[in-house]
Amino acid sequence: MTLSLAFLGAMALCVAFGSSAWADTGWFGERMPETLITGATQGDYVHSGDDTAMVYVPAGYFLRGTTKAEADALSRRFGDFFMVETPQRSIYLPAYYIDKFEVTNQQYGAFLDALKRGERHAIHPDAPPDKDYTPTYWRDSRLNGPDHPVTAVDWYDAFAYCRWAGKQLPTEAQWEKAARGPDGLAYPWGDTWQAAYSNNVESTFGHPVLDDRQWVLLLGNLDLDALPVFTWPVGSFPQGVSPYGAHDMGGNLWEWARDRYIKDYYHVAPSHDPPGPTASPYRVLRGGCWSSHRGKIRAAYRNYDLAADRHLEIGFRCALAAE
Amino acid sequence: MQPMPVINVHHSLRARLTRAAGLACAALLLVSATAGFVHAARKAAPPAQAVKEFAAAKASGDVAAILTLYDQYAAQDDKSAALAVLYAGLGETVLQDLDDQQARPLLDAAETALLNMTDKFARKEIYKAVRRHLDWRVRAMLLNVARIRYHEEKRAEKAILIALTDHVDAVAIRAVEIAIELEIKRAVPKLIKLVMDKWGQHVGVGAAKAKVALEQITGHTKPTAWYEWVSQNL
Repeated sequence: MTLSLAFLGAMALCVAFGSSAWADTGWFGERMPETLITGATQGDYVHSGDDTAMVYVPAGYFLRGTTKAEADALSRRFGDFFMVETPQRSIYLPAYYIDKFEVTNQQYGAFLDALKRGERHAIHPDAPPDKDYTPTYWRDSRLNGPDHPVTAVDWYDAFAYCRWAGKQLPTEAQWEKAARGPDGLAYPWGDTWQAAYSNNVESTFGHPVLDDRQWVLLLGNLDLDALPVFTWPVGSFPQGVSPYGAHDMGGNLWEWARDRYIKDYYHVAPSHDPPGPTASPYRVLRGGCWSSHRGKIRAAYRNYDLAADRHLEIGFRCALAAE
Repeated sequence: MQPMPVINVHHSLRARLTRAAGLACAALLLVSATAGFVHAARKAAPPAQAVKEFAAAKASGDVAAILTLYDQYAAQDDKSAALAVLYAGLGETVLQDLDDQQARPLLDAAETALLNMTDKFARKEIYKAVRRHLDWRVRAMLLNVARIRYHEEKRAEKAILIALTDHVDAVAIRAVEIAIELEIKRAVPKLIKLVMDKWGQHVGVGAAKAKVALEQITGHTKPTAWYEWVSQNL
């Protein structure tokens, strides 16, 4: 009787304070890492390192890359950039969590504060020793809103932030699966292009951009000082959400992945949790940004840049291995 | 009886002498390298008096006082005056906590002051700062100084070419825009490298601008034609 009352009391407390306060089992019945609790919204998790929302991606195969026929068709329209997505293959990944949104200025600001306090344990060993972790446009009011994604960060900034928060940058494969689901959707929201579902060049400039030539001329003659809006607050395009609940995986900002980049990697990569190439000066970028056309917003599109370069089109999100 | 120990002694002595000479050389190299480093660092250091003056003006919140200091040093017109404006007047103490709108009047005034400097050594420091200044906003501003002086000074062109590979896109993009405006032929090999290698599969605005620059300078849209143009024109 006493035990039953205690149990009922505990149940009442759980209902009162929300199941997240005590649960170690996630929304999908999985055992959660200690740094996660379930969030208020179904399917959401909250990470204690930086108070970010995360979503769960279960273990299993997903369709990675693009068929040669499709890459050829894309190349005819948007230039010779798509063969690096071939061959299309099924890839197995263990379960993991990924940030629901791109890391925001507010979150990155907390990391900068930690650096000022001398918390430098998260810094990558290869990062330049005198490196300043302040993003390039930190003082630009068009880009530095607290809920906007942090931009103009290099790979070392992104690596250090994720490690500081107790997470990691996603691998290229983790990023792609989180963006397109198990069945290889072309875009996070489906297979059909929708300009209004993401922050991309068409939504930025208000008209279709149908080929590479049009894109080059539009951006090549752009006066950046005159452009009032670049990024949007994270989560501004709920219709563009991915099958696993991640937002802005097409557009807003390119996102750094953990992997190094070589163009032929898909030909030699293992089919089980590919770790990325071991040698290359470049790191992978995925997802497209506010200035990307529909060919680059595709979830399979592969981009890259030098690890120490900062662009006003590049941000990141973090991932966490499941137990 | 045995000759070997004697020879060994000689060898040993020679080895010791060689080692000592080697150590001496290494020490000498280290000393000269350190001296060189210190010298290089000292060359970029602003005069202590200027650091104090700009810090005091900043601490008092008197923007007009900072602008006046720019003009005073510009009138002095020598290398140390250039260093004063570049690394004290546009240093961390003055600019760090300013957002872009607050920094704009200071950058504009400093640009005017630096443009007024005619001394050869002062100008040399200005062009060097396009590469070495820590604040990208200053590097971008200095590119404008180089742009205006492009037709009179070889060093100005060199500064613009170096800025094409700045790791901050705002500076590199500004350099690309200047290369387009001035149709800088010598920029073409670097622009090709930006488009083909560094900026990968078109990260964005920078790559598009570099491509437009190549098209305008060479008159061609295809990479093969750009390479051909380089072999014929440079």
